[in-house]
Amino acid sequence: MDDIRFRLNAKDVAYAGAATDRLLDVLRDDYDMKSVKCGCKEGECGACAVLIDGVLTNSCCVAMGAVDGHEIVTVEGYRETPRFAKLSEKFAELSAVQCGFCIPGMILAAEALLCVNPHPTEDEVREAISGNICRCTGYNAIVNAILNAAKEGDGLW
Amino acid sequence: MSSFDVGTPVDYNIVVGQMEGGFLQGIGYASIEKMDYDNKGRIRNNSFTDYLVPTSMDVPNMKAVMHVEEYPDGPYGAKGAGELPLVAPPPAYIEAVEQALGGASVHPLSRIPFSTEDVILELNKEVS
Repeated sequence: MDDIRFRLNAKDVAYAGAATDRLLDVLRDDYDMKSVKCGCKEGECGACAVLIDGVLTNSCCVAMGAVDGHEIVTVEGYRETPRFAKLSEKFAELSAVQCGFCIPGMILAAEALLCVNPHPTEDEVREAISGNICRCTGYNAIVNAILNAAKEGDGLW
Repeated sequence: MSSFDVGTPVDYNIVVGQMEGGFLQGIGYASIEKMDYDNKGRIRNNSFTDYLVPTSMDVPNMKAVMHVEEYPDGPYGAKGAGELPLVAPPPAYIEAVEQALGGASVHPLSRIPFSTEDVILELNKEVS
């Protein structure tokens, strides 16, 4: 059986396991991408979100066979970019992180939104992160952090 | 709008976040977070599909304000600020639903969670 080849955080990798393995488990266990959190395992909470070819996707609902030839970005790769630096700065400034479990998904949801819409309204931000459940913050701080990052990071996206 | 006496907030932003988050939990607790049991006492909600929690789209226009006053018995003048915001929203929510339905004399409500479906059931009582 051929390996499953894909790009993970700008590196070419080959996965020798089964095509039916869950992307979430493979990222965490085989590639040590611990920013990808296992929340509900049924695509409801968004904690396991990754970018597949730039599209926000819940990795718990993706089989390894489906990522062959695709490009995956997790926070481990995204954190090297100036866009992450801006989001990180604003999340910290507004204390948008409490327990932090939802934050990798929130960051990638923000990236996915800002890539297609660099100047979103509050409603658009709320819709963009509506697939990511947060129990701690009440969302206001996260929404404001993303809006501020979009405003101050003008030109990054 | 919610107001909290937490003594001296040690980290203001985090305290506000905690209050807003707890407030939203309270709204969820009062409206959609229904936990159900079967006849053997086993919890029937085993996923986020069955147990809904508020998302960013469900947030009311909420604002948390602090009543800042040094608390002499606490460290650095602070008080605990954990579960505090969960206490007030359910009664406030039920009051609001009661008022919307025509007042406590018409529809006295005494339980949570009180969902949209419960509101419809309550209104159907009026018809029958």
